[in-house]
Amino acid sequence: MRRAITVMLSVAWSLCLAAPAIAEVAVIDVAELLRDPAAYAAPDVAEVRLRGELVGDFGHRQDAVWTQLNQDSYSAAPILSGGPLAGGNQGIAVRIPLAIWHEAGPPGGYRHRGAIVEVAGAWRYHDPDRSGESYLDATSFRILEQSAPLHEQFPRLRLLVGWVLLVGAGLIAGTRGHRAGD
Amino acid sequence: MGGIGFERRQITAEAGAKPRRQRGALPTRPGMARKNARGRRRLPSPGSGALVVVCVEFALVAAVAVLALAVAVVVSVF
Amino acid sequence: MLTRPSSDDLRIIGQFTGRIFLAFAGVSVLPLVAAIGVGEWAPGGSFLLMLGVFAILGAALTRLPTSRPLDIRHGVVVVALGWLLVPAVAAIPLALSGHFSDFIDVYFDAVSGLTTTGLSVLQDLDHLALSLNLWRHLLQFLGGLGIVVVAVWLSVGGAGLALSRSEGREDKILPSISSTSRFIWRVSLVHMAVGVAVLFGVSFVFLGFTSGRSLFHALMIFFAAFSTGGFSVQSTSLGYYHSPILEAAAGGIMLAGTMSFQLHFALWRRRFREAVRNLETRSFLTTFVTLLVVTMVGLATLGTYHGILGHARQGLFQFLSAHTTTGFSTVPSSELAGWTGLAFAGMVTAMALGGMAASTAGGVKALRVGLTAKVLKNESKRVMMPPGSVIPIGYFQDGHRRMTVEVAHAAMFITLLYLGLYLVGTGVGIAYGYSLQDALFESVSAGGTVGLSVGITDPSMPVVLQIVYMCEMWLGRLEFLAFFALIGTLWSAVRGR
Repeated sequence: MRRAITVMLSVAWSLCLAAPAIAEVAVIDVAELLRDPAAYAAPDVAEVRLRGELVGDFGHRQDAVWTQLNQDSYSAAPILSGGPLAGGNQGIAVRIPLAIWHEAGPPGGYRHRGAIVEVAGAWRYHDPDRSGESYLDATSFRILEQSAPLHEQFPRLRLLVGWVLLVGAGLIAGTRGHRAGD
Repeated sequence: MGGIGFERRQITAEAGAKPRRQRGALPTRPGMARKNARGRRRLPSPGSGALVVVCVEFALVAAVAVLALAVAVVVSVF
Repeated sequence: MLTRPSSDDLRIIGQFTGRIFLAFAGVSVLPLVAAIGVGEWAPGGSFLLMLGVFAILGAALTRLPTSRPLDIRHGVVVVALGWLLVPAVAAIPLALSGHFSDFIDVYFDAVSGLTTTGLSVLQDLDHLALSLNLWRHLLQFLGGLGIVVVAVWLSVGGAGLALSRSEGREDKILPSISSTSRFIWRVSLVHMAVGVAVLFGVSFVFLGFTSGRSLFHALMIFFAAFSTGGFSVQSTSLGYYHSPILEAAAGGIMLAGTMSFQLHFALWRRRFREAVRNLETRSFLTTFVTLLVVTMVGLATLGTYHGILGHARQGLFQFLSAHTTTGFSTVPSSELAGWTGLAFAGMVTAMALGGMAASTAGGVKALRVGLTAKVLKNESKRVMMPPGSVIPIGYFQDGHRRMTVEVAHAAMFITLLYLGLYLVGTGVGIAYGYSLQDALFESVSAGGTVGLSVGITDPSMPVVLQIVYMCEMWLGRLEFLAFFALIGTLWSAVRGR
C-alpha cells in the first residue's frame, strides 16, 4: 500500500515537473494547419506556434499590424536566389498587436526575403467577431532572422536580343514605307 | 463623332467612285446631315452619367449585401 | 463544295493578326517602363525581348500585301488566332521569370490571363516581381476589353465590325464600331479612375499600407475585378486584405465588369426604365437572387461559418465572385472544396451561367439564359394550346424585339455547347481520379472563365487536364464561333478546291 502511494506520488511529482514542458506550445507547420484548420482553432487549442517568413505588406491598423506568414521552401530559398520550384505558397494571415511588434525590415517580395519569425498565438478559425475570417492572433512574436535583400542578374542577353528584334522590326517597317512610297 | 468616319469609309468602299450626290445614303441637301444625325445615338461624354453608373453599382452591392444578411438571418432562425 | 482559302485570304488574316501583335507591342511598353521605373532589370530585359518579338512579328505580318477588305470570315479566324498566338508571346517574360516548371505552365497562365479566367499555376507568387504582376493583370484587363477593342482603337477602321461580331459582341451600342469601342474605353477609364481612387483610399487609410503599395494593390485589384479576371498579387487572393470594405469596393467593380456595355450606356443616359426592362438585366437579377439564396441556405446547412455576419460575408463574396465570373476568393481552395450540397450547386450553377453578354464576363451569359427560359415557357404554353396555334414571343433588349426561330436556336445551341464543354472537362477530370464534385467545379470554372478553384489547378496537375482547361478557357471566352471558323478554314485549306 505504502509502495503504491509512493509510486503515485512520484508520478504526480514527475507530472508537475513536466508541466512547463507540456505547457510549451509545439511548433507546427503552416501546411499542417491549413490541412485541418478546425483542429487547431481556439478555444479548443489555446495556442499554436509557427515559424516562417513575413511577406507582402505590413498593414499598420489601429492596434495591430496585419501581415502574411509563409512557411514553404521559398521562405528558405526564394527562386531569385536560386531556390527550387516547389509548388504554390503556403501562408496564413497574422495579426500582431503593436505592443509586441518589432520592426522586421522590408517584408518578403521580389527584392527581399522577408524576416523569418516565430509567432505564437490563438488560431482564430472563422472568427465570428471578424465575420468569418481566419488568422493567427499573435501573443508572442520573435524575429529569428532579419530580412535579406535578393539580387538579380543584369539581363544583358535579353536586352541585346530585344534591341536587335526592335531594330529588325524598324527595318521591316521602313522597307514597307519605302515600297509604299514607290 | 466616331460613327461618321466609319460609315463614310464603308460607303466609299461600296459605292466606288460615284459622285457624292448619287450615293443614296448620304444627304443631298445642306442641313440634312444635321437632321439625320439628330436621331442617332451619340457617344456620351463622362459627366454626371458616369457618377450615376458608379452609384448604381455600389447600390447594387449594398442591396445584395442586405439580401445576403437577410437570408443568413432567416436560415439561422430556422 | 469547300472552297480553299485563297492566298489573298491568308494574307489578309496574317495582316490583321500582325496588327494585333503591333497593338500588343505598344502595350508591352507599360510593364517595360514600370520595370525600369522600379529597377527590376531582369523582368525589364524580358519585357524588351517580348516587345521585340511582338514588334517584328507584327511588322512582318502587316507587310503582307492585300487587295481585299476584311470580312466576317477573316475576322473570326483572326480573333481565334490572336487569342492563341498572343499568349504564346505574352508568356515570354513569365517564362524567363523562373516561376514556372515548363512552357505549358507558362502558356496556361497567359491563356488564363487573356481569357480573364484567373486560374494559375505560377509558383511562389509572393516573391514575384512587381512588373510581372502588372503584366499578368494588364493581360486580364486587355483580355476583358477584348483584343477587338484594342485593334479597333488602333484604327483598323471598317474591319472592326467583322472582328467584333466574331467575339460574340454583336450589338453595336453606338452607330459604328469605332465609336462603340471608344465608349467601352471611356466606361473603363471612368471606372478605373473611380475604382483605383476608392481602392487606394481603402488600402492606405483602413489597411495601413504605404502609399506606393496602396496604389499598386489598387491598380491590380481594379484590373482583375473590372475584367472579371481574378488574378491577385498575393497567394491568398483577396483574403490577403482581411477587409470587408475592400471586398465591397472590389465587389462594385466586379459587378461593373459583369454588366453589359449596353446597360452601362442606358445608365449613363439615365434610361433607368430601359435598363430595368432589359431581358438580360431581369434574367441576371433572377438567377443572382435565386442562386444566392440557394448557396446561403446550403452554407447554413453545412454550418461552415458561425455567426450571421460571417455566413453572410463569406457566402456573398464567393458567390459574387462566381456569378460575375471574377474568381477572387477570401477563403482557401481547400475550404471551398468543402462547400458541398446546395452551396456547391448554387456556386457551380452561378459560374456556369456567368455574367451578361457584351461584358467582360464569361459563362453562358444572362441574355441566352433569358431567351432560353422564354422559349421553354413558350413551349410549355404550346402544349396547352390548340394544335397549330402560334404564340408570338417578344422581349425587350435595347428596344422591343421579336424572338425569331434563328435567335432561339442560336441561344439554345450556344447554351448546349457550353454545357457540353463543362461536361467534357468534368469527364477528363474524373478520368484522372478526381471526384465528380471537384472535377465539375474546376471544369465549369475554366469553361466559364471564372478562376475559382477547389485545388485541382496546381503546378503538379496532369498535363492533359491542363490542356483541356486551356481549351475550355479559350472556347468559353470566344463563345465557339471563332473556333468553328478556324477549324473550317483549316479543313477547307486541306480538303477544299
